[in-house]
This record gives sequence, C-alpha cells and structure tokens, in this order.
Amino acid sequence: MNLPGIIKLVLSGSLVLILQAAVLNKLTLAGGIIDLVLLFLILQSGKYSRTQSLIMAAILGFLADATTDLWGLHLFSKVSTIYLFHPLISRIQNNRFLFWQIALYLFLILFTHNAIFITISLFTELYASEFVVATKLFSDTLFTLGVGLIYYFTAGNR
Amino acid sequence: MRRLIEVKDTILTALLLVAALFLMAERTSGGLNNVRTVSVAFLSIIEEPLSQVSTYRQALETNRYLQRQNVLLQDELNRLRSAESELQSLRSMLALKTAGQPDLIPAKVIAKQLTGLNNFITLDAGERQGVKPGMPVISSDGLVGTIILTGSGVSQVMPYANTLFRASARIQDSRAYGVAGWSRDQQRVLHLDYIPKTIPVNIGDIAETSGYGNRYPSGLILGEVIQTDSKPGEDTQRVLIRSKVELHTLSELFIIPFQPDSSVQTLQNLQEDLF
Repeated sequence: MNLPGIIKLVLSGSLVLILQAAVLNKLTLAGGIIDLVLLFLILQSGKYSRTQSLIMAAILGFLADATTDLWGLHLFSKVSTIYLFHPLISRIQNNRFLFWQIALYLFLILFTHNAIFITISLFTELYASEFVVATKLFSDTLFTLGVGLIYYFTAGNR
Repeated sequence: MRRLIEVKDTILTALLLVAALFLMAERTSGGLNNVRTVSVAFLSIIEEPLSQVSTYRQALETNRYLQRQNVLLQDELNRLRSAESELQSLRSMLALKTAGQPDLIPAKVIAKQLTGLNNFITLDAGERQGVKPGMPVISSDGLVGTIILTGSGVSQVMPYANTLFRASARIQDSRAYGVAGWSRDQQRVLHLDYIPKTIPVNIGDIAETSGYGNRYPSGLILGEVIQTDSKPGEDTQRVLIRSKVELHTLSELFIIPFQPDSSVQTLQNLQEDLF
C-alpha cells in the first residue's frame, strides 16, 4: 500500500465515519439505520489482504464505537465479519457475478454482522432491548443492502 | 515460525476480539470515562451545525405547543398561588422549613442517539456552566434523564428511555412508592415496580420522583399511569407510565443543579458496610 493510497483511504474512511455519525445515525426508517461504515469496509477489504482488512475493520469499528458510545460492539462485529467473509468478499470483487448472487452474498454478510452485533449486545445485557432485535437484524440489513446494491450497480460496478 | 505466519490472521482476530470484550467490560466499570468524554466533545463539534437545522424545524411546533401549555399553566398558577399562600401560613404555624427553588441551567440538544441501543442525548452545557454528573435533566413536560458524563462545554444525558435508568418514584394521589425504569418495549413507557397490591392506582394518575433515592429531587413529573398489572401470587403490582416527554422532538432542556445529600450517602455506605 503506497502513501497516496493510505491518505486516500484515511480521508474517505473519515468522511464515511462523519457521515454515519452526523447524518445516517439520525435517519431511521422503520427503526433501521444504514450502516455505511460496514459497506465501506466490505468495499475496501476486497482490495486488500486479510490482515490489512482486519486492521482496517478494527480501526473503523473502534471509531464507530466511539461515535455511538457502544464500546466494543462495532469492533467485535466488524472484525468477526471481515475474518469470516474476507475470502468471499475478494471473490465477489474479483469475479463477475449475477445480480441475485451479489444480493444474496451481501445480504448474508450484512445479516451475519448484525446477528453478531445483536448477540454480543444481548450477551453483555447492557444495551439489550428486545424491541430493537428484529429492527436491527432485518431493517438495518435490508436498508444497508439496498444502498450497497445501488452503489454496486452504479459507481462500484464500473 | 512458518506455521505462526499462516495463522497470523486468526491470532490477530483473536487479539482484536479480546480487545473488544475488554472495551465492553471497561465501559461498565467507568474505565473509559476520559475517552468517552473526548468522543462526546468531538461528536458535538460535528453535530452542532446540524442540530441548528432540527432546532429551527421544531421551533414553530414547540411555540404552538408552549402557547397552549401557557394558557393551561396560567390557570393552574392562579389556583396554586392561593394554595401557596395558604401553605405558607400553615408552614409557619408548624415551623417547617421551606424548600428553596434551585436555579436551572438551560441547555440545548446538540446530538441524539435514540435507536433503542444505549440511547443518549448530548447537550451544549458542561463543566463551564456548572454541570456535574448525576444532575437531573428536565423539560417543561417532566423528567428527561440524568447527566452521566461532562466535558468542558458539553455533557451527555442518559434519558429515561435507557435500560440503566432507575428512579425512586411515587404516585401523586395514592402516595404509592416504587422504582421506575424504562419498559424497553415502547420508547415513552416506563414501568413502576414494587407498589403493594393493596394500594389502588388509577389510570390517569400522575407519577413523580419521590426524592428517596437521593438521586433526584422530589416532585419531578415522570408521566401518567396508563395501565396497572398485578399477577396472582405476587404481593406487588406493576404500573405502566407514559412519559409526556417526547425525546425525538426535544431541543431545549434544563439541568437542575441538584447534588445528592452527602450525609444520606454516608449513611447508605455505612449501612452497606454493616451488612
């Protein structure tokens, strides 16, 4: 990874984090929130090695935790997701897949991330609230999937 | 060594997950308070310009609501004034102390996180304005929450809609005492537990803080009783209260410079040491 590449990555990552904290966390639709940080992470991790992606997931997860006061939850779920799905993400980005295949894989990744997030939050019993479980699991997944697919078939698929 | 390199991603992931678990544990024990204060201050810088937009959007609606409230309160004030003079004379006869009205610290909401997961509100008043952790936060509709973190010019509020929120409460008419907490299922609903079944509680009764927990002064409105629930075989009933405070539209709040009575705190500590 060269220096201009790192600077570009840091700047775009910071922009995504600020956008997430200042705007997207406030825009709830049916209780769901678009997780732009996770989409950014998925998009970027296909371009880098698994180790680099894990470090990126840790930094973004930690900063996402800091902006939501959910210390450890984003870090845990994002690192786990990247560890589990990095080979799949690399395959998606390096091969041409059909629309439904990409949608399915992306749904799987987002759903797993949110499932880990919810499981850990219930396990800690600190942020646990039953009524947010379904919201987080389905609304967040579907809205983020929608934005991810729109991006993929416009800017990302060039 | 070669094998170590092969499994380095697994080791790195394990280390990062342990770090995440450490962060979760430290958050509850207060070990991250300094970092949390910095993050709240940083977040408030980002969100402050955006908060102006929502503040103006809500201003007209709030104005209309306050005008209506003003008429109702004016009527109530007239009745209370006559009751106050009667109370003063009765107090002087009984030689009771009159509780002083503390000055309120005004504050504006600059950030909100009301997703259901660890809800919190950030205000533009902090240590510079005399805000300290533990101070209650109110709006014209009643208790909003309590200050949990303070920076130099910002502070973070744990609203009533938080799983960690607890307040010693009572029902105004029946003087039934209990502990109030967020019901989790609905944003504006609190539950009031430990009220004996023998004490009748009616729908529409007003619940307020009792002042017994040494965390909130007495008389802060929590909400209106909407349901009572008593199960067979239990001595106490659960009362559901709907708060009049709509957290999503809050823009201006007041902080009560209330500090817990240290002598009561000392007594509680002594009692804990005894048992």
